[in-house]
Amino acid sequence: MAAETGTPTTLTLKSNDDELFSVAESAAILSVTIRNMVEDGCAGGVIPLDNVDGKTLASVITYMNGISAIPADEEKKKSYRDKFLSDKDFETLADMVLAANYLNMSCLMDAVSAKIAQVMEKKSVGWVRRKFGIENDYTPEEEAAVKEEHKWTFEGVETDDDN
Amino acid sequence: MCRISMLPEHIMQRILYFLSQKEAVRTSVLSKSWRSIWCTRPNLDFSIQAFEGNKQDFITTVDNTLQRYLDQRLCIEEFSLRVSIGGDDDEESMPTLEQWITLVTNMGLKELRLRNSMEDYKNNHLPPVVFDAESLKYLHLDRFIVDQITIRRILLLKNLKSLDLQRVSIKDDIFKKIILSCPLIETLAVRNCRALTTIDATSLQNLKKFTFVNDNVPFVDDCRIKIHTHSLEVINCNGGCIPFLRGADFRNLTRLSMTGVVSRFDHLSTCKFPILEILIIFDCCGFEEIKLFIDAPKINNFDYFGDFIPSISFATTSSSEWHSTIHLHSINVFSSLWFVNLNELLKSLSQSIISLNIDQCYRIRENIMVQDKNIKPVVVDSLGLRFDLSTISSLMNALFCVCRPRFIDDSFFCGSGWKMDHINCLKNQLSQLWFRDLEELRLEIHDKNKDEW
Repeated sequence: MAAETGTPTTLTLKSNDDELFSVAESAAILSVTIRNMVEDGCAGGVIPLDNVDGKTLASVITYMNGISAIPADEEKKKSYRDKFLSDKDFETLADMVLAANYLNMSCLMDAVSAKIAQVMEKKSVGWVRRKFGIENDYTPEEEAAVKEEHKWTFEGVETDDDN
Repeated sequence: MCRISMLPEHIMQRILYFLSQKEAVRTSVLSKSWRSIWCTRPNLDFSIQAFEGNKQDFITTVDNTLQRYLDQRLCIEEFSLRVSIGGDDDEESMPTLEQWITLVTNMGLKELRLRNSMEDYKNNHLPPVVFDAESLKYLHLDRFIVDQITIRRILLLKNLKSLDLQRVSIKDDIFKKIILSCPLIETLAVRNCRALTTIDATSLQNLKKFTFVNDNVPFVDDCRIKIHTHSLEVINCNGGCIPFLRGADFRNLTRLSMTGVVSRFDHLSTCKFPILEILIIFDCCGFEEIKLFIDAPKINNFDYFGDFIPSISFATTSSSEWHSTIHLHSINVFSSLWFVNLNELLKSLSQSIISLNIDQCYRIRENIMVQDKNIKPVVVDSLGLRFDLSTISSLMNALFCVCRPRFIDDSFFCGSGWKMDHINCLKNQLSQLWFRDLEELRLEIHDKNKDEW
């Protein structure tokens, strides 16, 4: 019988590469996706998260535990988020924003989106294309036309070295 | 291949949300699929500075963008505008601005930021339509005039949660009218608003955070600030005058920060701060002659910065470990009484971990004797000093009679113009003093006193 003093309930999450993770329910329900499963009573066994790999899920769980340990103080939470994201590389950020989207965690989603935006700031079009793996499907004429249309946005930007 | 190129549009949208208008629009050149993502983001942010002062380009761009949102029936939730209007020869700009605001306030606007970079404001009356924006939750104004003309009609801002006025020319009655018609305000910030002499926020039953700054307006009368709302969580005041009411109950306040506040603090001792964690008193006056008692059992940090030693004590705290930082500067008279007062202050703070800094001292009379029988040195966790080399021994002797530092912060000695030789010489001199003093202080304190040298 469960102790009445409220032993914390633990959930088991499974990544798409079959790694298992234990996490306190109170932290895991930061994800609206997981919370809905818990509320619908579907969280008894293992919760499969088909769109998240083990490496990313481990990171997300670190975040869940970290942020839920901070009491309701927006400034402290913000500084935790900044610190948490400060050492993440671009690929990790991309994986995290997708995971946050799938798990429906708006606070993480916003924090990662803001971080990605911060990385993009003042970077040349070429740099962003390379980093984001974006294929340029404009013809040179089309590209020149778009640039001309938004001429004002190209002042004070790093010059492209690869175009 | 990076997965970010396959991000669904709504995530890209979210990323663009955090970019400036300029940065967001520029993403249209990345590829065809990026071409129009920026066009639908719910926040618009234009600055005349991005157009290098080309006003006509600026106006055309804003006009075209707003027209596109209108044509596609898109929402604009946040609208930020940095303009440069109100000069003597500028008569067309204001109607344009008014037109834009009318447009965006009909598109579900929640946040509006209007900043004017024109220094000298004579003609920059805020367009009255701003106060018709019923959906508005956040309003920030910088360098506008808000007067009778602006609010001649009924104010419809009843959903406003945050009001931030910076360098706004506003009179007391107009300010009062705004406050009374916006009962849901949770965050109120008033920065360098000339002409405002009274802020009465007592009607704001939902007010959580109050910020007042008056640091940049010379010859302005002190603004009287009435804030005794139970809901308040954070007060940051830089300047102004806060008449604390007798027995006021700040039951939700966690941070009280006062810089340069000139006030009678008599009633502060009767106020209750049941969950206050941070108290900052920075160059305030009005309590030189009184004994302050702070009823804040949850205090975590107390910072004092000033040119006199205050008499201040705290209710017994339930916090297991709390810190107090005392920074005394521009002290021009050192006397034995000064050290007695310092000792009193340290004694009343002795349940906390104390950092003591003494700065910019002038002339010190040689050989100050501190010979009061009631003086018992108080343990101070760290001591920082910055003063003239020649006066060291006199000060240190007296200081060690009233406190026992555990660490001496030697970075404090490195004032400008000091050479390494000086510092080394000082270190030698100090360590001699230190050991000499230790002998005088008997052995029981020996291991308490750890030093960096």
